[in-house]
Amino acid sequence: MAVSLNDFISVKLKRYSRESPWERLRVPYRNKKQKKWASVHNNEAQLHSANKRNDNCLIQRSSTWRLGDMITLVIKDIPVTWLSNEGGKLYNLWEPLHDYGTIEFMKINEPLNGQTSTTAIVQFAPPPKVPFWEPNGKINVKGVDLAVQIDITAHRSHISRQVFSKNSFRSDQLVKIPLSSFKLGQVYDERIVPLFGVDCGITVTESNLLVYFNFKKLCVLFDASFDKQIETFRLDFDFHSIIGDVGTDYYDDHISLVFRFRFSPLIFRKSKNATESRVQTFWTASHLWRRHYDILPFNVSPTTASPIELLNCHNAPIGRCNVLVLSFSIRDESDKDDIAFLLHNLEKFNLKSQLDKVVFHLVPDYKHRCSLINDKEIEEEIAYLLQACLSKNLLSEIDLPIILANLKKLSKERAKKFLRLILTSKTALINPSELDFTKSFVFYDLSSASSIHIKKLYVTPTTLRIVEDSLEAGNRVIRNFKDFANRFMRVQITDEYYKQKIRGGSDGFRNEKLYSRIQQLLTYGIKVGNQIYEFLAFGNSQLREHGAYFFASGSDLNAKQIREWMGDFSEINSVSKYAARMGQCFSTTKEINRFCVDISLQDDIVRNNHCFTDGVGMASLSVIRRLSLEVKNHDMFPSAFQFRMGGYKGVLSLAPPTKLEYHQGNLVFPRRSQDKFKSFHSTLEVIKISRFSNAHLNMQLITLLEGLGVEKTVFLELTRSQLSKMNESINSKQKSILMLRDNVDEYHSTLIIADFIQAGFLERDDAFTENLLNLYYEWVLRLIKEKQKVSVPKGAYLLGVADETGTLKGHYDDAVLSVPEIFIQITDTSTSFGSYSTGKLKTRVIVGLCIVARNPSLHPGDVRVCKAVRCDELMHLKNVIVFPTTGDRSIPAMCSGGDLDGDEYTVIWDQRLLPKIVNYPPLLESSPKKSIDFLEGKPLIDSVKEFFVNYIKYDSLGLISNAWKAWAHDHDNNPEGIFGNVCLELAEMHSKAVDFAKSGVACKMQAKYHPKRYPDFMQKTKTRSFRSETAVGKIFRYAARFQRESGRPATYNPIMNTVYDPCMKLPRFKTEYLNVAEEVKKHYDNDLRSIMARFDISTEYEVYTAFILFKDDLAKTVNEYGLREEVSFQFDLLKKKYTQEYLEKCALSNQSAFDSSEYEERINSAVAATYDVTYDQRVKSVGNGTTEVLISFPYLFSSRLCQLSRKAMLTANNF
Amino acid sequence: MGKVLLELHSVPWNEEGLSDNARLYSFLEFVSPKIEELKYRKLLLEKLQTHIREVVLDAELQVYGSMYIGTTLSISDVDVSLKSPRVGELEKRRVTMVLRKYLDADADFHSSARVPRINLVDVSGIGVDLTFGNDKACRTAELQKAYNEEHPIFGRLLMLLKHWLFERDLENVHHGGIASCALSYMLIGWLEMRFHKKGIDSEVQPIRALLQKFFYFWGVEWTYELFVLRPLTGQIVPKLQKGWLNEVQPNLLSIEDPIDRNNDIGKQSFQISMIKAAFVASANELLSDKTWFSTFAITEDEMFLCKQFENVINTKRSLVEGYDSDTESDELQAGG
Repeated sequence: MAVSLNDFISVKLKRYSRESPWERLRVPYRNKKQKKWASVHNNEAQLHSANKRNDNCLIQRSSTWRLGDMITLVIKDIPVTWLSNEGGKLYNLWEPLHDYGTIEFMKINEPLNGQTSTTAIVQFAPPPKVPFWEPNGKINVKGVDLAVQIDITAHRSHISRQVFSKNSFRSDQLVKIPLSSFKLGQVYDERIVPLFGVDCGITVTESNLLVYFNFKKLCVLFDASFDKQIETFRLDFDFHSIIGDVGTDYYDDHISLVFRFRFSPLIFRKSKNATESRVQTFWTASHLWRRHYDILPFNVSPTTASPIELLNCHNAPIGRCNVLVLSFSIRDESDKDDIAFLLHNLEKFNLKSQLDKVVFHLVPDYKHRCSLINDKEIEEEIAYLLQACLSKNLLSEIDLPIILANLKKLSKERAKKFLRLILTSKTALINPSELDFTKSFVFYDLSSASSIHIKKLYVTPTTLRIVEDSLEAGNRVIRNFKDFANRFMRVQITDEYYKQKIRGGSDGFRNEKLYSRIQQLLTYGIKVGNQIYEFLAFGNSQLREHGAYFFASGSDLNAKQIREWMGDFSEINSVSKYAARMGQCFSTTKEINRFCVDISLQDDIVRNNHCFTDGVGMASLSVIRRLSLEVKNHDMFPSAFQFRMGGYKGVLSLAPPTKLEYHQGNLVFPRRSQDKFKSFHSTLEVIKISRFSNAHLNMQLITLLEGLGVEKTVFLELTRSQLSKMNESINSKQKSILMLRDNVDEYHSTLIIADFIQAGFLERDDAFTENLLNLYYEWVLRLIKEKQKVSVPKGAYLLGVADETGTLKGHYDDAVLSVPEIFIQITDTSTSFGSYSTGKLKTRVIVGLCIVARNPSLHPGDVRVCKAVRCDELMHLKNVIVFPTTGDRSIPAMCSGGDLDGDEYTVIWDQRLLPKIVNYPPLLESSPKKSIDFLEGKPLIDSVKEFFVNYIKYDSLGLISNAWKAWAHDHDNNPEGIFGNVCLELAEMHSKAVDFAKSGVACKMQAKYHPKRYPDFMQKTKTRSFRSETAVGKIFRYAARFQRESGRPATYNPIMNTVYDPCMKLPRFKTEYLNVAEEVKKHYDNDLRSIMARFDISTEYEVYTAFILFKDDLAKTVNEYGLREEVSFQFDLLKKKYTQEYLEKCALSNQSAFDSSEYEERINSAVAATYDVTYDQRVKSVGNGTTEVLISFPYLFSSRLCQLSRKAMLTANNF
Repeated sequence: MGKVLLELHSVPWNEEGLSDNARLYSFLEFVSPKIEELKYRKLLLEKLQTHIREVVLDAELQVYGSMYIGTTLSISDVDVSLKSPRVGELEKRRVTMVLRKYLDADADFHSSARVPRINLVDVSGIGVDLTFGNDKACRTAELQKAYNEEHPIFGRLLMLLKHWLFERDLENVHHGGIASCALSYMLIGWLEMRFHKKGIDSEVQPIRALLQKFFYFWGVEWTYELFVLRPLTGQIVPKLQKGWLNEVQPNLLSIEDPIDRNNDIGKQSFQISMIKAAFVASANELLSDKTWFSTFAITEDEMFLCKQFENVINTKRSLVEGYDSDTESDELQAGG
């Protein structure tokens, strides 16, 4: 038989490339196309401009305005008095005109100086049916004659839009097609159970589909008629909440489209009255839409006096829906074309269309089935897990009868495991059979003694999302009530995309209904299972995230008793302070076991009404030594730590070793400023300890520094050098190690990667190390692009403490140029060759001028220039920044109002970044701090609840800081940049908004501060963006280009070729441990997968390093810092647990059983065994093709692995 | 860099003592589809038809391109046109969806292309290019088929040239290559001009020399800036006369479409200067007696295709033969 290519399939072949000199002529296709287009375009543009003149003539003929889809009227002679506060403003126009048609937009112009009348613009879309201004071009409003004119110039741009077919409307950005019907429902075993749209007591009369391609959302607009009234509602679906493809089903006379979605739609109800137009000079139709959480008419109050539940059988269960079916009727070809156009455009957004069969499955007794959840016989824990499964749509309430019947048959333990298993699975279990409950399964439970399981739940406007358990390091309250731990619950209030906060508007109108739901939540609590959880309190950072603790009160313990136990707050007379002090007990801390300290209260250093030691105290050497043992710190001996102790909070730093009286016993010297309330607790709890991490510039800091006179090129140079270093290090082992050591992150992951590389894993093509490195590149690049987080090699990010010796020279107001002194001594990561794992670290003292700033800083005075000095008295303090206690004013307070109770400061000694304008006057608190009083005659906690709602309502921190960013870069509208009045005022507002949680005084941003346009790096829609020529804009574009053009693959590669590491061959006892390794790895993989599933993280590398690459749609909505911290915390627990467990199971936890050399060798063998097992699994998986194998297990033993590798390399070199 | 190539040993065309012609023919046989594969392609077409009939009841398909002319290579796509009935935009989309459902979930519908088309890749790795009512392409195929019957050397040369383009990653006109339609007319025009018009029989010419001359002609001799080729008669027409002078890119390849005289087949090849350079390189290469055969090679991509196809065929076989093969493969794995 003739030879064919098949014969070579399994042969190992050499590959080569042909020399192809012609390739250098190749032009990238894209560039070519653009060029061509540009040349053609010019000609066309000329042609067009010639035609335009003709257009003008045509339009001016009367009644052509009827043809367009929009008309703009200019209304003249408006009396200036309308613009006064009580004048009614635009409402005067809206009221008489809105009957004629749909008003899309209105604006009233500010009158020029001295004029008595002004003009306004009113836009109708579509144009009104009656020309109400004819024949004279006049209308009479409130007895005033107003002249009306059609604005032709505004008109033309709209007329050129494509308008197709008689029924529907479509342009590049918008499609509007009438629907014959629509249904919202739940997917149930390939079928759809309609839950809204049929049989729910609401009649839908007219419905339309609107797709805004530029906003990437899909809206269903419909009229719902209740008993007598008709209300218009709108459901908004974001494209990114749609999962999978668009299903289509086609009949002769109609076509159905099926969208499956992850998050419930946003519900809007159209208000019938444009009340906002009374106070605004600018109004659009979108102002009429009010958020709602249910389909209910305006006057019906939905807030029943009952707790919030997952399955609410009273209203339309929008929150339980996950599929939308739209039906269009097809009458003629043009209807078909419209649908084709819609599908065509959706494909551009990666929403592909597929054939589908729409089969409805009616469940007439849906509400009855839902009510079964209140079954009293079901055990509490099980009921909770069951509801968690329901809330994630892994089980369906439609199956409740079967599920409940079967769960009752199971033992309690088994039922729990069964439900936990479902929670970790990815596919829903629909219509389960009895077999599903009884078949055997394997499940491992992640539990650790040092952490506590706390229930967690998100409340969104339409539904609840229950997270099974979240592991917590714990806090004082929960540790004390450990036996009741399963009755605590963390509740977070979010919007439908459940990691996003509910945005507080500057006007209270739009979200009113949502706030009433929050009010209901706080007053009546949440019902999960048969327990009602009621409001307990909230921690400070929790409040920022709109979260709080709830507790299921019972006869043995209730929320009130817990609050009383926390301490005596009676001396506090401000609501916000009261809440904050309670929150102090909820800080995530680590308790130091059985460790009593003696407290010796110290006075603060106060001068000129400024406290220099605000929040910082001292601790004796023995306390800190004890602490460093407890926390298992890899770094050097810590110098300071953030703590909680009874009513005390703040930072304790190592007391000067020169004074003996500070070190006699376990002594703690808190300051009066740290004493927040009376409490009988005296255990020391630790939040974090001081450690070194590199300094980074961010968008705000770059903006400020540039404004203060630092050259643009410096920032670009820093970016460029960071990126090019990254690029260079691809090929060089030493360079990549240096780079990683120079850029230490918060969780010290880069140091671990550096160790792996140092140990030679990269040279041996280790897939894990390679992936970690690639992930790091991707992560850095994204941070630079999106947040301009540029690393500064000559800088650090450190905890601030005070100089207890008083040697440093402070800030003096009367000095010509006051440059205060600071002291910094840091770990030297670059020169000390002894790596992270060996623990031999050196330090160095920074000397010279440097800048100090605190995050967030928006005011030009927030960046301080200080002089770092060598100070022998302070040599005991490492990896902290020491501020002087002398002078007229405290420096931390000048850095955007900071203090020393745990704030971290960025300090940079790169001389190129020293500003020209040195020490601009800091922001002074202009108004004395106000505070809100308690409600009279009601329990104190009611005031706290009200404060909580208010906080959410007026939380405008993000809004203000975004506005500041936009204004600071918009040099056309605000030529003075950060020194412009808008920016200075916004900076002041920002500092007030930051204080909101403490002061209780809301800061409302007025409409005039809304940015006119946004710089390109904020990545808003194109029409509202401009190209920013500031350093930030340049960095953004540079990084974006780098991302596009760099040779590296844009994404790191999770599946790579498998190469066996020869270093792992050596150890001799390896085979003894293979079985154990396999077993432990199975457990570990399971737990790791559940972490990945819970946080929606796609690869294990991201968990391992806490460099989480957020999916694009979530990147802007999640609290990145918090999430990373949580992931890293959880992974640390996992790491500890499994390294320990593995060694125990290998009988290696106790060293004394072996002589030392054998012990070493055995441990090494055990670690090598984990590697072997993982490698085997990978090879098999590659053979099978599909299953994904987790490979991080061996790398838990990072230091052992490195040691092993080094040893092997040495041996190899010797032979 | 072109595509990654493979070094194959003990392949028929590398045997000692072969004549140039025998060598090239042996290579051609190697890259042509086997009977099994041709059968599979037929089957694929039938499948296509049945699936499409799910949404367009009386759909009729018409094959064009290489499969029709009879110049199929293993790497060729299946070109097929939905001959009748005429369908609207929505039906085209529904055809895409049905193909997505059964054949390739990633099938793409290019609705705004000059000729709307659906591109998909079958599990066997064979690409399918489905167009709608593409009469012109069908007529072109008929014409070329007739030409091929008259001059079989055309088909063989065309196949070799197509493979040549594929190796150099020049087969895709959108990424700066040359379309196979343009290539075939370049070949026809050249054959006419140099042989048939002069009454020389092209069939008896040594094929290596033919290739070399072809490359030399299009790489060196032809004046792209000035002339249009009229393929069937081998005539040279000035660009000015046809009004096809493109001032932005004067050196574009221009070939008059025999089906539609106002259509310029060559104008899409926007990187003709690069292709020209590749022609010149090969023309020189073919002159050297020692290394001339390095002009042709097997690519890694073909290997992938072959593997993929083999997988499909094997699964089919194992389904037919029952479950015996499963245990066998397990044993194999355990052994490995």
